[in-house]
Amino acid sequence: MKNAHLRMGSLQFTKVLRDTTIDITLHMDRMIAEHEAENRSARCHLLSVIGNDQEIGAIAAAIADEARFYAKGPDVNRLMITLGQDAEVFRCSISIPGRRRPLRHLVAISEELSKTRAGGNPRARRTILCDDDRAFLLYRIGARFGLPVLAEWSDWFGQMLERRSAIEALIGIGCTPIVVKGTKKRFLGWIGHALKRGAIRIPEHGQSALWQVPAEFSANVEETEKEAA
Amino acid sequence: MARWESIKVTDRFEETDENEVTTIRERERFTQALTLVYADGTTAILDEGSKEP
Repeated sequence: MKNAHLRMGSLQFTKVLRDTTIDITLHMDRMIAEHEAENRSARCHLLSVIGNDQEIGAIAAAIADEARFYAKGPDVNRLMITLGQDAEVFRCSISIPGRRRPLRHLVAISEELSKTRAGGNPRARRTILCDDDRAFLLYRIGARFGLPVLAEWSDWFGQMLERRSAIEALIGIGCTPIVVKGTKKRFLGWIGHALKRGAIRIPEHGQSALWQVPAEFSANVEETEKEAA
Repeated sequence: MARWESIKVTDRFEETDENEVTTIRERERFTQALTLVYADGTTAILDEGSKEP
């Protein structure tokens, strides 16, 4: 990948033991974090790091131990983060041509983010999303809560969120994360009122909804690469 | 417009035996729910707890 130093951050883990000190710094290509008023450290919802077998093993063990890390990124100052309880960790290997050993890739997500999947927590009051694209936002909220929504309502929904102060930007590396505040009933109420007022409408053709949303993180990477080139 | 979804529900049972020991059992299962939005703005959520269709 080109210009990695322009878009990647770093994750540092330090632990002082009786006779040695563990100090690991890894490249981090994605992170979502949120400032917490009552804590010194920020709550991390997602991190994605690359390193060797031992480094990734140590980070996975530290996450299970609810340890604190230091994160830094191109637009993010040094920040203490923690994933909290019951974080989920996914690991895989990446073979690089010319390298004898594969790199190891670790993705960790917080318990709250892991419940963002469809039907994960139907009574949730917050939804964390990795992208602030309006169509993606409404698509994910619709998928999570099982709401009947159309792509052409995306701008209206985005405006409603801003008017009701129900959307907030989060700290992100390699993505533009947001948190959306609201329950299924609240959003369904908005849709009902907007249909009554005529702010949105249901088309008469009766075709299934077509969505054009970023399907994966790589869409952002391509944009960043173009900007950096 | 309608949207079906699968939702996870937890059934909770409490049993008390002759020694007055209460055993709480929780069983998770998936069920269906249907969310409806009519063109006039009426909305409805139909699931197994709904009393009326």
